[in-house]
Amino acid sequence: MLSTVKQMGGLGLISFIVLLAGCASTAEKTQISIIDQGASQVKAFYFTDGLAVEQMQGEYQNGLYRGRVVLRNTRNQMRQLQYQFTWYDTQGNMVDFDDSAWTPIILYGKGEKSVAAIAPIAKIAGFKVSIRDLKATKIFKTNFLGKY
Amino acid sequence: MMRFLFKVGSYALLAMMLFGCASKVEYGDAQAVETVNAHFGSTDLQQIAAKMVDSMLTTPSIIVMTAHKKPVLVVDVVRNKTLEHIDTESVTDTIVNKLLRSGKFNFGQKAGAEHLIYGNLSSITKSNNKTEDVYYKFTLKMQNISTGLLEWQEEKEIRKQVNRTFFGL
Repeated sequence: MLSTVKQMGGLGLISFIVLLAGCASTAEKTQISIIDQGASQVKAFYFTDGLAVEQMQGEYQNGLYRGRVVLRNTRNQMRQLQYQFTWYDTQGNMVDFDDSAWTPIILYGKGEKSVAAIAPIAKIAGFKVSIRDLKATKIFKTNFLGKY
Repeated sequence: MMRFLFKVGSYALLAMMLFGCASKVEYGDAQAVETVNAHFGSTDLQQIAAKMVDSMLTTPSIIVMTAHKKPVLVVDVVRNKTLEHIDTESVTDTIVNKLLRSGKFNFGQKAGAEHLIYGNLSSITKSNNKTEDVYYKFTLKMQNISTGLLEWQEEKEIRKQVNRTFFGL
């Protein structure tokens, strides 16, 4: 009797885990490689809602930090989106600037575009990219910060 | 029954008259994408400024120029060649603000400046019964005042379309 209860409990736990895993809408695979001092390149794939965020790269150019990322539409239909870069200092704290505007972008079916932005000040070590549809009803955010 | 319906209808009409024209003021996000109409707007200004600053700070010749000193720039006019009233000084102000914050340039008067920034904004508008298409092109240049050489130039193109629909169809 006791073993039957244990078996049922185990089955329940497995079902719960399967259910949780099944609900995850984001499949991601991240590989980080350091290019040179202060620069980092990440090959990240975030398949969320038909959009892949790839080749996230942060590097210092002329003493300024520049974030770059490739957005790829995995669907056949054209999509109108908007993106925003947010910047982080060496301690991992968000640096709040008023001029980090949302930028509209069109991605044609199966198309991809590289987007980049320069950090507003020199002491920046990482960034995040937020992407949402043009009406701002759906949003997702990459969870990678560049190398500190 | 008819009296009751008449009463309800009257109240509904009164409520519509009282509240139908009410306006509400809310603060909006200054960084949000603005698509109220096809005219030049805040999102266009922000996109132009970001592209110009990004290009200027990553162009190899400018990187060399700013590696060991802060060149002194002066901003001349950005001519508005569109048919709209557009405050182009506001665009250049945003660009200057970003460039100053980068710490790579100084800005001053024409007398002591080494480089001159100038440009223009042009547009092409086409429309028919159903669609209005507006194309903007912003061009910015940096010229060496003493040699007259054009050291940097960048363009930003923006296209906007308004599709008119009737009754949401």
